[in-house]
This record gives sequence, structure tokens and C-alpha cells, in this order.
Amino acid sequence: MSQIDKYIAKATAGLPSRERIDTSAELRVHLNAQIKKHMLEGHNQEEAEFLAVDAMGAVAPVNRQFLGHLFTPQLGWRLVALALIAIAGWFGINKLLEPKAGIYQVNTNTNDLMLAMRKSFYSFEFVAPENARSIRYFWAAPNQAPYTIYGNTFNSDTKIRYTVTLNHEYKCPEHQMAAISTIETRHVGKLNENAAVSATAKPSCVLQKKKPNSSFTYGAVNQPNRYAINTWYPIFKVQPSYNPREKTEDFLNPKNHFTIFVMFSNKDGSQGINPPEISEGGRLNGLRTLPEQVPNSVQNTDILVPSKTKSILIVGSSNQLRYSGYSIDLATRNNIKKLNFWLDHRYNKQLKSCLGTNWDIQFSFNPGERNINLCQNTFESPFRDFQKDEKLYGEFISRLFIMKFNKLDQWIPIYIIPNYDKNQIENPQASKDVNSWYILQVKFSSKRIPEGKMPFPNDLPKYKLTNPFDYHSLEAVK
Amino acid sequence: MENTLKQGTLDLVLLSILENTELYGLEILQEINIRTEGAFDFKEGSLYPVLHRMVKAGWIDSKWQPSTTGGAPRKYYKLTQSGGEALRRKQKEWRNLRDAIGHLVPFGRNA
Repeated sequence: MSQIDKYIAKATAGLPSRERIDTSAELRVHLNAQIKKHMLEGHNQEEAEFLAVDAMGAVAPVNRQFLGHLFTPQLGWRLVALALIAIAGWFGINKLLEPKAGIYQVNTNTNDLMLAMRKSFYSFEFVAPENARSIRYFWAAPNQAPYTIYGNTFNSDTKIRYTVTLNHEYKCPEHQMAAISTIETRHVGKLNENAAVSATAKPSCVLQKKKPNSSFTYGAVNQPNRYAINTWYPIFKVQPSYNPREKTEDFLNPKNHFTIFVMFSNKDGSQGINPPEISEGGRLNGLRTLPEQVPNSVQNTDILVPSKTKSILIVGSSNQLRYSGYSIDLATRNNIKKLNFWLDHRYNKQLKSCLGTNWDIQFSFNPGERNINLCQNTFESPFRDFQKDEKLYGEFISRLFIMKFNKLDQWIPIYIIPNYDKNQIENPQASKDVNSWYILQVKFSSKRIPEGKMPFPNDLPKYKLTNPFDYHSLEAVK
Repeated sequence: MENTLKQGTLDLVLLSILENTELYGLEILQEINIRTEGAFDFKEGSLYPVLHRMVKAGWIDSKWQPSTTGGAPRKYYKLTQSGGEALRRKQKEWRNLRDAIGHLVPFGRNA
């Protein structure tokens, strides 16, 4: 670099691009003219350049006037460079080296040693996007598919690892294999608060038509940065999901394939957000966790109200008795979007169980009282006076069993509840032999119906239940 | 001449030089040298920041033009209306100062 170039570079350092070029050109014209003059006076090129540059004077004050600040001295620039390097280093350590948001298939061991030995599991690592406060996931399947939303709150920089196990050595009937055994969650990396809510699927037996790993269809695995906040994404599809639970043959999962969806939310995990499939009406299991001492006696479910609904009718009936129902006139209420059912099997319990924060309207139902109650403006905890040795009607085995609620003017069965007899309470085994049951049905009406207790509707469908402990055995009676 | 005195009168000198003509940087320096008989010498590099400051102040305009003597285009500076007003203001200030100093210091080469 010639003396002229060096001078111009120093004199114009820090100027905005356009101004720097303009000034450089002007200085160069000036210097060239002076060099030419000195060369005519007999100096060689090098001498002429020296004299021309020397006549310009010290560059620092010149540059300082151009820039109007103190970055011209080398020390100033060095300090700036050091600061930039420090900032870049900090950014690199804290940001660039962190795993990008997404879901990755990873090599890891499951907590189950036997499964690890069989090498029949898959693991996924969830890395939450920036600003995420919670992760929610739910299982969904077409048709008659109960599913559950799990929510979990965590620190924004938490990674979550799911281990999805494909256990093809599970004890299944001949010519069948296990498709999925466990899904476990655990935090990895920085973890300072709540433990994960774990989802566990018992081994699923399927006809062995394909290799075990073909049971998985990945949705969005290994796609960094694909995940936006508050958006549901399918992670993988598991097929099928028939889920024998020891001898009870209880169906935890749908018969058909199901998909696990996940969403990173910037809200706390306790707040409900509707999955995409049920935006037009559907069901969610209540997000709140029930205390361990009442695992099957209380059930809490949200139901989304389809649009264009003007009235909601709730009716309970049984194969032996008729119960009165209740109607809600939505025209007298504002923006009703979500119903909540709070079912309580505790014997002879005075219901004080309305939790009115996360839904718009709530019903409670107590088999002992055989009444449908509308809860309003009551926020008492149902568990506050629960005694551990309290007598229960029996295990709450009824389930909400229809997923789609988007049809109007149609009675939809939502719960089947074994109708335990009080005399059977002392003998829990005897309660398994009940042959009476009742059913809750709901209708989203397109017509306005006065609110309040209502007489038994004539158009209520009748059902028969072959097995009161299996809601799949419900059949309509013509 | 003392640097501080030159600094204080530099704007007046440049505005005066450009009052009735368009000049480029080197010409401005030469004109200053001729009209002050070499008394107002300063480092060439300091000229351009002052010119740029005056452009930003709106006192002078600059424009690249082909050189009248051949060679590379040059950046010519000329006075604006605002610059003319500034010149008259500074001339008045200078006259006031000169008169005031004149009462203290007798003018004349042999004084």
C-alpha cells in the first residue's frame, strides 16, 4: 500500500461508505496534483509522495474532525475491536453452540435396561424454541379416539428427551408383535424446575406384517428451527395402538393408528390450548392433575362448543332410570366456548367442586345425588375436604368416548358411568358386578331453549351396554 | 500566525475566498496563500474537514466537475446564499473586533 493509500485510509476511516469514497477521491486528486508538482520540481515518485503526504499534516486531527469522535487513535480502534470480539465470543458461547430448536432423533439408552439390551427403542430430543415456557403434547387418532393433553412447564432453555420404545419382544399373541411400549420424558441439560409429565404407553400388539420400525412415521423429526411457538406439530405416528392393559383389556389408546402432536408454548403449562383437530368442537381431558388418593373417582373433562350453537342440553339417563337434564341458553351468556364436566364418584359427597377458571361453563355430576348441577362462580377445590379413607362408589371407569362434537342438533353420548349401588360399597369386588349404568348425553342445539332444569327429552336415543366397563360395547337401540 | 488566531478566522477566510468564485481544494489553498502573502499557512489536510463541515452547515455547495486544466475531475466549492449571509455576519464581527483591537494596538507596519 502506498503512502497515499495509507493516508487516505486513515483520514477517511469510519466515515459512512458514500462519504468515505467521495472524500477519498477528493484527497487523492489533491495528493496526485501535489505529487505531480513535486515531480516537476525534480523529485522522484517516492519523494514526491512523501512531500505531498507530509504537507497534509497529521492524520489524526483531520480524521477526528471528519468523524467527530475519538475512534481515530489506534488505541480507540483496538478497544472497539476487543469489545466486538468479546461480544461475538459471548454470543457464540451462549447462542451458536446451543442446539437449535427442533426435534432430533438421538442415540440414547432407555431407563429400562431390558429394553436397552434389546435395542428396540427410539429416542427423540426436543429442544424448545426461544421464549418457550412449556411443552404440551397429545395423542390423537381418527374416529373413536380418546386422547389426552399433557402439559409441562419448564425453563426456556430446557431440552426434553423422549424415549419412544419399540419393543417387538413384548408378549403378544401369536403372529403379532409389540409396536410401542413406553414413552418416557426426562429433562436433559439445564433443569431447574418442574419434572416432566411422563406419558407411558403399554406395549401394543399388532399383526406382524412389517418390521417393527415401520410402525413409526416421523412427522417433523430432525428439522431444526421448524418449530414455532404455539403451533401444533405432529411428531410421529404410531400404528396401531391397541393397548391391552393386563387382564382388564381397558383401552387407553384408540384402535387405529394415533399421532403424537407436540406444541411449544410461551404460556404456562397449566393453561389449556386447543389442539387443531377439535377447533370446531371436541373434547379434551381436563389438564389438571388429580390427587393420587382419588385416581379413579373423579374425572374432569372439557368439551369445546361448536360454533353456531345457541343452546346446550345435558341429560343423564340409565338403562333403569331417567334423570332430569339441564339446558343452557347461550344467548344470555357471553362467548361460551368451553364446557367442563366434573364427575365425582365419591359416595354421598356434597359437591363443591366447581373450578371455574379455565372454561366458560361447568357442570358437575354426582351419581349419589343423580343430579346434573350447573356450577357458577364457585371456585372451591373439590379436594379440600377429601379424606383418604372415604368410601367411594367404586373405580371410575367410565370414559368420554367420542372425539368429534361438531354436529348440531344431535344427541351425543359423552360418558358411561357404572351405577353403583350403595350397598355394594363395602364390597368393592361386588361393585364389579353391577348391571346398571347411566349415560350422559349432550346436544348442541341450533335453537334457543330456555335455561334451567328441563324435562326428559323425548328424542333422547336409547342405548344398551353389553359390558358396563367397556364403553365400546355401547350400542344404540332403535 | 498563531494557530488559535487562524482557527478562529478560518471560516471567514474560506468564505471570503469563495465569495465570488468556484474553487477546488488545492486552488483554495493557493488562493489563500497568494491573498495572505503566505501568512495564513496551514496543513493541507486540515482544509478538507473544514470544507465538509461548511457543506453540512449549508454555507457552501460542492460539485465534481471536469478539471479546466486537464487531468482528473475535481470537487469545486461555491458559496450558497446562506454562506453569503454567514460571510457578511463574520465580516461584521471581524470589523468590530479589528476596530476594538485598533484602539489598543496602533496599526501600521512600523508601529
